[in-house]
Amino acid sequence: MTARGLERWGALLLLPIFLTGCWDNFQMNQLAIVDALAVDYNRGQYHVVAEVFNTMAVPAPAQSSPTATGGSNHSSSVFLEGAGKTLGEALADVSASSSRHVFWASTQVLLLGTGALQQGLGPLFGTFLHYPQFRSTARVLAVPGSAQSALESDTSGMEITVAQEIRNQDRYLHHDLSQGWAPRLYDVMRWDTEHGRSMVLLSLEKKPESKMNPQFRMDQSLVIGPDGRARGSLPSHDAMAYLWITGRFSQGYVAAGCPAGAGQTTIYLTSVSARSHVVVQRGTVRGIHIRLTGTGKVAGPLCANLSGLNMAANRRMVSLTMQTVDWAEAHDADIFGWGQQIYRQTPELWNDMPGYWRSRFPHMPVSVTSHVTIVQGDEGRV
Amino acid sequence: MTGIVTDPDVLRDLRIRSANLIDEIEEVLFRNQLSRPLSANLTNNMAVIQGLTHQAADLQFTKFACRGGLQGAILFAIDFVNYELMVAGIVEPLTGLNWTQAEVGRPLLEQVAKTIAPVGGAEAVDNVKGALDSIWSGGAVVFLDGTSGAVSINVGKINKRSITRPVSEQVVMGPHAGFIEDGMTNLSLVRQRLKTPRLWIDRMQVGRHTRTAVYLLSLYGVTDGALVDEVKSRLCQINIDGVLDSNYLVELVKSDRWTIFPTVLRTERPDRVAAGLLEGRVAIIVDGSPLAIVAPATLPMMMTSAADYYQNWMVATFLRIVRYIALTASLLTPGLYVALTTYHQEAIPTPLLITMAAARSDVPLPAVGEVLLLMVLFDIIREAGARVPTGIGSALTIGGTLVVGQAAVRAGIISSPIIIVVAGIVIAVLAIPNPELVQAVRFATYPVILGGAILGVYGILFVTIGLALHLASLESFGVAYLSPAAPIRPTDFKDFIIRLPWFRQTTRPAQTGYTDVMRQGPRSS
Repeated sequence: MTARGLERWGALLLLPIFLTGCWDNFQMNQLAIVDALAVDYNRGQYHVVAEVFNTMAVPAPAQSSPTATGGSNHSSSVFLEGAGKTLGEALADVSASSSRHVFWASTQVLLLGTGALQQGLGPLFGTFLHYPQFRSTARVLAVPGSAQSALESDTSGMEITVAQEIRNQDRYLHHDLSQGWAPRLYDVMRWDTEHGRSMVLLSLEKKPESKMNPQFRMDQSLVIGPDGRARGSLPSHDAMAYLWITGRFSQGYVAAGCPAGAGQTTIYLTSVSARSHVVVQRGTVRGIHIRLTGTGKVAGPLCANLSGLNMAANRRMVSLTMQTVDWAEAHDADIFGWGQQIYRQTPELWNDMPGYWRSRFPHMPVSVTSHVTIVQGDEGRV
Repeated sequence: MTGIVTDPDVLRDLRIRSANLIDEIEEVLFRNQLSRPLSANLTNNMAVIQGLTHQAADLQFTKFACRGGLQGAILFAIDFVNYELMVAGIVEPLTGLNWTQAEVGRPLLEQVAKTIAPVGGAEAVDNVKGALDSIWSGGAVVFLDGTSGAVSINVGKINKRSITRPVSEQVVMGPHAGFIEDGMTNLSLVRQRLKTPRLWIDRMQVGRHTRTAVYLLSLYGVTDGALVDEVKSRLCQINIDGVLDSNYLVELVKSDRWTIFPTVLRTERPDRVAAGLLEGRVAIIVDGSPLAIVAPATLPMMMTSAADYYQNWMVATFLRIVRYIALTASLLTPGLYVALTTYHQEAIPTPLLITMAAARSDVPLPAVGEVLLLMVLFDIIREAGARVPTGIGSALTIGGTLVVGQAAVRAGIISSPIIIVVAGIVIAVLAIPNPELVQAVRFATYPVILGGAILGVYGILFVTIGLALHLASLESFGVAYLSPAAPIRPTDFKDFIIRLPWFRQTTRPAQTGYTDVMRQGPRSS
């Protein structure tokens, strides 16, 4: 390596010294460690509430003794608030409201109120992208109404934070479900809006007069269009088909009508998978065909022979799937990622039809066939 | 032209010069006295020797008279001679002789040397220096009145302890003998392992006053002659007043003197010396030191324990990997702790971050202050523990543990996670087999901590790069310190981090054993 090259390498190595140093360090006890963040928009301003761990409530080893109760006099979290015309201003306001250094990197839950979602996701995530210390593994949840009300809890003395409670619900109750519903921030940031994809956000609701912490609500799940704005709430009966088609969940219960009007029975779907086939003819997308396959078993009364139940269950699954597709088309929300599929399969076709998909999707012919095999379950033996 | 000097600078200069001149004159006179021939006058000889040694309390003149009337004296150093042997072997035969005062001259001394000298041998002594040199080696010098010169008869007694286990390099499986302070015993321990005439031992004397015997060992045909010559030449160039331990020589002869890392191996184990010789290295045994020197040495050698070769090769390999992990951990962990807790908190999992932040909530010191305080405290306890008698050692351990582990945390001076970090590295550093490398790593930890405190992980990177460059720049008698890793030498990987079984180690290390490459014949592999 020449002397000039060495000089360049040396300069490159030395330059980062000016980017960091002892002047911007923070001791851990100077940090306000954020666990969750609620973002609302009203009266022309963004309102941000940060739930911060109250480290004083964590029993320090020096205090631990058989008689110590572990900081039960303290609430597990404190709340910092801020507002501003932009989200950046609001976050800066939150930082200014604390004497400690607000540490965003530990944010685990990001609650977005309806008002903020109506403003679109673009400004929200654009701001987070400019906060390099903001960890992109935070779970993004939608809150019908005010996100702040869902986050703030008046149950003082709680040993866990609201965000921890939400994570526990996710972990113990809805883990599999929330995989597809409550994406992490990096999923949202990688969200393929360019190819017309819409997104579904699981919603969280706190009942107005309840002492309980906020709970997951499937029937209020918000659909965000490619423009980053809320398109509406996905009906709960459509949720299951959405999960099948997107391959995020393969189980569920469906009610199937018994043949000859003998009432209804319940079918437990043990494994369902869907395959979407985009039909392209003469350089045009002619339609989408969805093929459902898998297995299920009778979980309710065995009201007919299995062959009859098979037909009834498959009919029901086709109708459920069509219902969901119809909802998506009606709301102009490609939540299934078919635009993305076309782009991946035939990029040249996608490039030849700029703007075509946005206008075509609401009228796209869709057909569904179901080949789910139903077997006799334990319930059916009775 | 004459005049009186009044300038104070000139006066001071003159005073210093005159003092130096007096010192030089005294030195010349002393040397003249030392090289003065022994006279025929017994009283005169005694007076000169007593004057030169300032009547040293451990020197004794014992006068005797032969049956025939001839006067004589024996000069010896107390506790350097076997007293019973001297009386029975020298004094009694001499006093029984019928020599008279008239029978003076050289033949008498020759007769003494030939007839009554015990098994140890005798030699003629002509001057005062010779007489004094011989008594420190266990000789009894016989003077006869009227006869110039003297004869030194070896009746030496060696004060030495028995062979014990090596203190710093113990193994569970394998030989347990360790070197002691006696050079000849140490040589015999090596000789027991290398019973070959190819083991060449050169004797030298180093130290103007201590006159310490230094033995240079090499294996003829295996060790490179140039290496032997180089070591010999460096030893010969030493002009020091005294050598009390092998470390004196290490600092005087090693290639890179301004480094804390050991560039020669000092070992208490004769088997390691023998192994080093078989690899084409040289060994130096210093009389009075239980630590032999093996050179050239590399960093991987320092990470090798003698036990590696006395157990299953796969186990030995695993243990070597563990040692390298311990080396890295003990070097980097405190610095990383400081960097992560001060600059890169986002790299810490949130639950751990909260626990650590809570633990630090009442601590007044910054993380770097905590780490440095505890590191220094541990070093003090360790240093104190190395000095105190065994009986007090346990009290010290309890005191140290209580003070550091409990009281300091309860008092809010330090947080509990830092105790785990520092205690962890205190234990980890002990996994390094070489005590000198342990000390070097302990020392090198501090720059890493400071680098982490000033620039975070980037600072640690800087210090680590600097450390790596320093290590790569070191050499030991022409061998790169990091070899076979840098410069890379794949043929020597057989005994680097992985220790291949003996049937795969057919050649000597390329860096030292190039004179006789093959270690095993075709049959054994």
